[in-house]
Amino acid sequence: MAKSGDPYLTVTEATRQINDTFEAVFPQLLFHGEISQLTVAASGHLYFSVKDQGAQLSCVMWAGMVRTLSFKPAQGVAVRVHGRPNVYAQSGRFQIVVSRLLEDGEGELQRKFLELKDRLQREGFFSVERKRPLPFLPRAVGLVTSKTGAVLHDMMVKLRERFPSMVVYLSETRVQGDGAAKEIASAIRKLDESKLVDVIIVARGGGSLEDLWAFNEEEVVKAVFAASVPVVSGVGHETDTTLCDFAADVRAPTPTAAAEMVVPKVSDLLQRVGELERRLKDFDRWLQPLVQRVDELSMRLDARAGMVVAEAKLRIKAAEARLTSIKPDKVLELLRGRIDLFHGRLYRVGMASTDRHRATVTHLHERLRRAIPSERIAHHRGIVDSLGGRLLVGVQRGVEDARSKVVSLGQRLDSINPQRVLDRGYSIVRVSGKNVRSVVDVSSGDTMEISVSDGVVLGTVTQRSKER
Amino acid sequence: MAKASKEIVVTLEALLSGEVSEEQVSALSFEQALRLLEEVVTSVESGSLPLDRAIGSYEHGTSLIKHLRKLLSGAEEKLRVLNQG
Repeated sequence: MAKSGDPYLTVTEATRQINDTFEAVFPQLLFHGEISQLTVAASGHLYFSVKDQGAQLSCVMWAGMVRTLSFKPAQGVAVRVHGRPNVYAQSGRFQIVVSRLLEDGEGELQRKFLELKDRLQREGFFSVERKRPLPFLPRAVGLVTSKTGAVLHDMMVKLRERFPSMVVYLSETRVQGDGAAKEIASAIRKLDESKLVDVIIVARGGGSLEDLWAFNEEEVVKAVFAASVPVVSGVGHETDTTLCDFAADVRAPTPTAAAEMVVPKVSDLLQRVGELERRLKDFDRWLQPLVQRVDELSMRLDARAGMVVAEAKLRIKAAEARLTSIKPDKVLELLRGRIDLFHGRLYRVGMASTDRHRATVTHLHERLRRAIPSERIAHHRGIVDSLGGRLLVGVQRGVEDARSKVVSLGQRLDSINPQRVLDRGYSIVRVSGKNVRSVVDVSSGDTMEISVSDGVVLGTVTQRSKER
Repeated sequence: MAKASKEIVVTLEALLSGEVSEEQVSALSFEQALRLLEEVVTSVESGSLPLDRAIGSYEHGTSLIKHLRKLLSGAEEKLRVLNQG
């Protein structure tokens, strides 16, 4: 109690009397409103405000009570509060000590958010079908955000890190407060109409539902939707969701993540191009099929040359066999003629196929020369030249063989020519057209036809004897 | 709401038959040029091209690489601010 006579109380006494009065008048105060400025102290106590359009009350909830809560208090959540008014003596701060806190459905802003979301969804602003892929490498990137603050800086750092020469246009805007939505929408349109950028990032740092509210406004959603280039929304933290996120082509969890999405890493791209260049310039690898084809043709030429020679040998052998089996001198000239004919044909076949192969080789040679770098040309020219040479040698050898066979056959034919025998003084005796080889081939009185070198003598057998 | 694409479309066929000028190549987007280069390298490696076309592919591939490198190079860009208002 105050000292008698002095009407002034001590501060402590005044505070005590106020608190007593509050207690008497409001043993329990019930009210409802929306949570804002929520803080959880290290002690576990919960400090927050509950507000409506016209007023707000500071509230405290002791840690012991907080643990009994059936929901997680958050910004914008509408609540019903049981508490008693109290002036905190140490700071003189008026507060409500909350004894009970109930969730009152959803907060007003939350309700507004959901209503708007539903309506815009129905109107097709969030439809998945119209989401466009981001460009692989944009000519330039457009940013819609505030010029001040860490968000712009963080995004620039990320963009520089990935693609230093990327051109970035900033269309600055306020991102919070009255009229912010209108500014954001106009900043998006300005960038889009400039036609300078291939992708737009709409960004803002984290904050409460109220702080981020501008990004839920219909104007912003419509501007994002109307953009002619893809829009990435990087608004707030990972857990924050705005209608701008839904309308954008891609939603990034944070502004930095948005920056990371819109440009590739220049080092990755350089590596990719380098790899393709190495493959393109790997002559050995891409000429492999051509070299293989040349090899194949070489082997076919070899085989063909061998065949020409083998065929010639076979035909000479056949001719030889026929010559040795036929003796009569009348056939001789004919045979000689046929050998000459055959000889000529054989020679022509050899030469013609040589010419044909030579033409093929020349053609291949020419294609190779045009196609293959000069150090390879020399190599292949060597192969082709040696093949041409081998082909020619092979065929010529076949022809030579045939020629000498023909000459030796001619000599052998000469040596058995009956005329030559007669010239040397021998005679051939025939009786009734048959050569006389033995005394028993004739009888007395038979007419003999005796061929000598220059004619025929006729005689009659008078006697025969085995005695010479 | 789809963007009216003004991107030039160049096919491998057109490139290899020499219908595409150096100027048109340098107007290609990175993505287009990279895709073409990949097609060029793949076709060259397959060995299915006639010799003269393989050689042509090599030349076109080289000019695509030049263009791609140019798109990736360049000095660090400063932030450009679009004026409000």
